[in-house]
This record gives sequence, structure tokens and C-alpha cells, in this order.
Amino acid sequence: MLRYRTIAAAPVRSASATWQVITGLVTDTIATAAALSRSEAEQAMSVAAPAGRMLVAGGHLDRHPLTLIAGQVHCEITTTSGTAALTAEENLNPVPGVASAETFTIYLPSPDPLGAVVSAAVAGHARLSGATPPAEPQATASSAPLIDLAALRKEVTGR
Amino acid sequence: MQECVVADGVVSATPDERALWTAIVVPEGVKERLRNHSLLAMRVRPQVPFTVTALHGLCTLYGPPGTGKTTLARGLPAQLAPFVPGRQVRRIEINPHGLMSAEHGQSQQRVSELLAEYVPVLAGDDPAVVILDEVESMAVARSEASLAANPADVHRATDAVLSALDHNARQHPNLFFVATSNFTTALDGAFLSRSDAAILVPLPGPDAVQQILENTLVSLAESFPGLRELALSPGLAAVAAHAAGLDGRRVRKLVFEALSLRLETVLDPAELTMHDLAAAAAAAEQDLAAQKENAHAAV
Repeated sequence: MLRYRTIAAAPVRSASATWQVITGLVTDTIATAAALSRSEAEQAMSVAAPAGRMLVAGGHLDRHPLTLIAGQVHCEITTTSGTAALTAEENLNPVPGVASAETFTIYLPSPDPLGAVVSAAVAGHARLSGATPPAEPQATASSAPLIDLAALRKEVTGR
Repeated sequence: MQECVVADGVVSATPDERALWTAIVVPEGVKERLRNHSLLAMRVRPQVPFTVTALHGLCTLYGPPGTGKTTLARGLPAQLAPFVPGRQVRRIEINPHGLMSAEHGQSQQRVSELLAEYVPVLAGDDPAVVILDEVESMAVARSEASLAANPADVHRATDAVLSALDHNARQHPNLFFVATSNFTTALDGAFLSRSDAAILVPLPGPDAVQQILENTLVSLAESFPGLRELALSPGLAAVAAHAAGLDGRRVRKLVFEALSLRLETVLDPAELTMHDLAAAAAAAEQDLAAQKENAHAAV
């Protein structure tokens, strides 16, 4: 399930405050999963904070999302800056669909020239990654049939 | 979001669930269209791209109040259950009124979050019927809603409904939405255009009124056996003729209106006579005529 969240950055918030909002969104979402711990998410986001603030300040998150993958949910979090930030409508509620997740990973983008900073951050916590997030599984392409054709055929011929 | 979901559960074709469908007396074509459209959507949408089918998995039931639209929608999962692999269909009921917020920008966000995110999570991979009752409150006709009288949120909420329907049409073929409305003119044109079928649930005709009266009396006869003879009496046709024009809900209540006319029938409902029913029907007919006259005068 691909989800999107957009957070208003400058001039609405400083880079630090924007990162705090992203941290809140990620940790609140992870906290909805019975098998996952909010504190672990907080630790991960805290380790990522130096790189995260730079990603926000440089406007990189406007173009390259931070991706939270927890269970079936792929949530891409981007920022918006400038005039657009003034009118951005934010949804800061926890992302639905994480309740049954048993693991999570926070993927940070690694745009130039912040590659080294991001690499250093992700090395500090097992829940962080600087890799390209895996593609979202296509649920509909290979899903099982919704209709039992044999039962339907029986109904049609039984009339 | 949870407060906007008034019911969420798994339904199989039990007698209680099937009774929702059979209790509603409408031309058989109405029920068949609804059932067949939902089966067809679930049959075709997982296999054929949306660009080919343009099927949104949405059916709109419209018509006067009290004609059984919501009950039909609630009864649909049990009609589908025998034809799905697990023999169970999830039923999710949404209260659209709960989505509208006085806070700027919140209605759109809530609609989007509920329909595009929360409902798919609730349904998972199961076949699911999602009921949007009185949908006109969330899919307001933008052409009719003036920006002066309606907050911009109303317009944005309608946009969000349309976006969510488009999203679900492509991503979640297991979802089938049934919207009900008493006012099709209040519904947004783009919403109606997304409906795979807009089905009129009409007021019952005289035959249907008679059948509703008969069904109600037969059901009551399970507790008060003396009513069985009345239920099967040919005189019921004359009562039904007087009650023509009432909606199904009011026809059912007509029996209880008749029971309330005398203290004897309150004590023992089996004492109900055709005369009581005829008196109640005549009174209802007069009420209906007066209502029409008032409405005409108001216009």
C-alpha cells in the first residue's frame, strides 16, 4: 500500500522543526503496530536527525522522499517549501495499515552532496537504510480471483 | 477515522443476513442489477485494466426515503458470499456526516484518508462491500454549491471523494462501494459518472404494498398466530390500494398504526381487523394528500 505525506518546511517551519514533525509522524505510525516499539523508531530518527535536518534545509526532501516501509505500507514522506508550504494541507495522523507490521525500515535519500552524511547516519542504526527502497508490491496484478466461478456457473445452470 | 466507520464485519449467507435482502420489496430487476453489477465488478476488475473497463466498483442507489436502499446495500454481502472463495464478504459502513469538519482543510483530508487509506486497510484482500449512506453529504454537486453559501471545504471534500474512488478503482478491485441517496440532483455529476450503475429504488406500487403488508402480518403472526388469516385475506388488496404512494417503511408502520387505533388490539394484536387496517390506510392517504398540498403550496 503506497501512501504519501507532505510536510510544510520553510518558511512555515525551520529545518529542525520540520524534522521533528517527520519524526512524530514516523514514530506515531510505528506505535500503532503491536509488534513494534515507538522508542526504537525514536532512536532511529534521532540517529538520522543530523542528516535529516540537512536533507530538509537543502530542499532535498522536496524532491526525494524519505520512505517508511512497515509491513505492507510504503509511505513516502516529502516536504514542500516556499509559497506552496504556506497553503500545504498536512495529514499528520498515523499512516493506517501498519498495525500488523513486524518490522520496519526508514529509507533516507542520498542526494549529492549529502551522500557521505547519509551513509554515516544510516550506519548508526539498524532500522535506517540509505539504499533505494524496494518497489511496492503490486497487489492487484497477481491477486487471487475474487469470484468462485464454479459456484457462479452452478447458480447459472441451476436456474 | 474509526468514528466514521459505523460497522465493520464479515458476513456470510446466514438466514438473518439473507433476510435483509428479502425483506425489501422492490421490482426484482433492482436487486438483480445491484447483485450482478457487484459480481461483475469483482469478476472483471482484477483481470482487466481500468483503462479498458472504466469500472469504479461503485453503484448508486437513489430514490425516495424509506424505500429500502440502505437495507438492500446491507443485504448485498450475503448475496455475494456464496460466490466468493471464502464464502464470506466484509461489510463496511461509513457515516459520511462524520467526515465533514468545520476546520478548514480537514474535510478533504478526512475523506481522503478514510476512503483511500483506512477502508483498504480494513478490507485487506477480502471482497468487501463499502456502504456510503446518504452520500450527498460528502459528494455535493459542485455546480449547485455556491462558494458564498458553502465553505470551500465542501468542494474540496467532493474532489477528495472522486480522487479516492479513482485510486481504489485501480488499486483495490476487491472493494465495491454502494452509495445511497435520496437526492440525486444534490449529487456531483462526476460522482454519478463514476457510478457503474445508478439504480432507482422506487416507491412500492399497489402489488408491492400488498406484499409488504402481507409480509409484515405474516411475521407478526409468528408471535400472534391469530393474524395469519388476516395476512392472507383478499381484502388486503383494497387496503393496499389506499396505501399506494407511501414508502415501504411507512407501509410497514401502517400495520402498527392500525394496531394503535384501539386499546383491544394493543392488548392483543391478534384482534386486528381489516377494518382497522382500512382506517389506518385511509388516514395515511389523507396525510399523504395533505403533505403533497403543502409541498405544492410551498413551491
